[in-house]
Amino acid sequence: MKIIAFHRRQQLLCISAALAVTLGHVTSAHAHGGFGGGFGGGHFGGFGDRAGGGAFGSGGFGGGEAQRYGGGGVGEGHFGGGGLGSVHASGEAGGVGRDWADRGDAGRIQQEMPGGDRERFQQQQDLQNQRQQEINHLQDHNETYNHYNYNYYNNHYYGGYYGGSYMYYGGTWGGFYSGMMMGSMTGMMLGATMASLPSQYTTVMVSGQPYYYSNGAYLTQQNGASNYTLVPPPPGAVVTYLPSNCAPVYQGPTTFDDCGGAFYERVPGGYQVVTPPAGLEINHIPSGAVAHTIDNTQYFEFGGVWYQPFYGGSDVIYRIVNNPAR
Amino acid sequence: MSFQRLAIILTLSTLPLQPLLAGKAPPSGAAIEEGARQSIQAMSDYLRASKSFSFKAEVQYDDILPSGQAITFSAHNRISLQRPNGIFSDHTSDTGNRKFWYNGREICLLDPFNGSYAIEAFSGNSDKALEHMIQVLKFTPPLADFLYENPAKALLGHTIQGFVVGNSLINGVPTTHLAFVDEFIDWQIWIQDGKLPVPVRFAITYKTVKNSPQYVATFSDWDFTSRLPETLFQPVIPAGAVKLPFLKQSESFKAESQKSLTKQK
Repeated sequence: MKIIAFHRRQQLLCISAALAVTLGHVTSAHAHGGFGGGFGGGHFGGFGDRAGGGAFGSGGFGGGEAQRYGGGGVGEGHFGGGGLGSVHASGEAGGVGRDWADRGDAGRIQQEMPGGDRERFQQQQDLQNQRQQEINHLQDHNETYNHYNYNYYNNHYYGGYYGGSYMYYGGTWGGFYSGMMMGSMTGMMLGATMASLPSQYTTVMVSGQPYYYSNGAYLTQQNGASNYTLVPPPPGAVVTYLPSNCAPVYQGPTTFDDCGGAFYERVPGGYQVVTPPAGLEINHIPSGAVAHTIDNTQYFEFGGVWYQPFYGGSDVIYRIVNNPAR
Repeated sequence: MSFQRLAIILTLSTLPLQPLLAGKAPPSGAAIEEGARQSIQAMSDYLRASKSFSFKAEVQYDDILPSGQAITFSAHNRISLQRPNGIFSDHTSDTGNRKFWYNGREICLLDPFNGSYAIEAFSGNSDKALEHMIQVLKFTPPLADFLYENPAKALLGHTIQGFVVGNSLINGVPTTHLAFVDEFIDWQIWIQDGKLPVPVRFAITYKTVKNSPQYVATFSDWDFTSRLPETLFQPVIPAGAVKLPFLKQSESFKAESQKSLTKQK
């Protein structure tokens, strides 16, 4: 019975994580991730707090563990975060009631969804569960992919593009697109090539180079080749829509969207691929992030972005930092 | 249901609205019924008179799904206090486990499940340590209100209104049921009648949150006589656990962040 109950809880966790991520995209309402406001903690539906990040059973501390609940902020601060379980702390300016009051929008949005949207919401939820299965599969084969990506990108195009300063650059992009749904491209890895473009795509020009964008993924023709190669999101690219695995992240007045380790800044006319600024805080790091210990400090790195884990309240959160190895 | 009890419940249900309707909260403590205040004070004095104590608490707390559905989770807490500066809390719950120590020199928080911990050097009594946690480290050991030197002050510091609901039998224990209104929360407490006025049950309703989730703790195993070993308040870190910093905003990091943003532009 215990085993059955455990699996049921696991299912609930997955569903809730999916809801969290999806709603994190649907609403940009709550929980500015910065120091102070982001410490609402506690339970009671903190969806969207900071960012869902990679959200697919993220790496780092606590990611994908059985005991955590949700992927976008639910379950944060259960050890008294924001004053849970304390009258005194709940009455403080940064207490539970005030912070959580901002978060009710997530539930309201779902309740107010018209029938069609609700059906789409359910479809997204199903897709999210499917993605979880995909990432599990891909993680099982991660070593192979990392080997491929490391050799390809460090020795060729992207190793040079980024100055070759990211030791694990190729390797840690390994899982980047694994959670995305691109029709026939589902689960394809960076460096993969295909003879033709997906049925729906947008051409995006970056520094004179055309990229073909489809649901979060970027393809390009390299070195005059006739086929198309799946590449990391090129900084500077502006797209009009984001994939569904994104969550808003805030730094001061600026809103970013974290799409599984790819960051976008909201600009007029769409979303621009950016290198996330140091100081941005997220709840989960992308799947496939690689742990490093530098000067006795733990870091994780994914796609050239470095994350330092902290205790933010009673739970581990991740702050983007400048490359500590430099 | 007696008319008197019905009247009390109706009054209780409208209390949260009154400050809002009035446009501002009445002066702190202006409307706390004397009987309620005395019961809180008696409990507070009893705890305050003890140099050390320990207790257990079974907790249920709600989580609200985006649909509005409430999910009730459970937690178990073992908490010990040694005045002036020893606190130990062992927290296990459906959503994660934590151990917490304060010993007059350092605040330590451990996640035994994931193998990570944080330590903050801090000196001072337990009250100061608790305030440091709330204000700077941004977490609160659950049920910390009862660990303060003056629990009545901690509990009533933000209270707008309060009154005695009546008598209540909890697990066979006769108690006095009190209800209070704060700006962000409503809370209730059931205090054991007689010579041992300890809290038996404690409930917080987060009324500003959609669907008003609750946190309910039921206390047990109050122990005011056992000697608590010093080692209880010394952190026990499992081998291989990774030390992480507590997140605190620092000027240097602000500068780094600004530098990063500038570099992008």
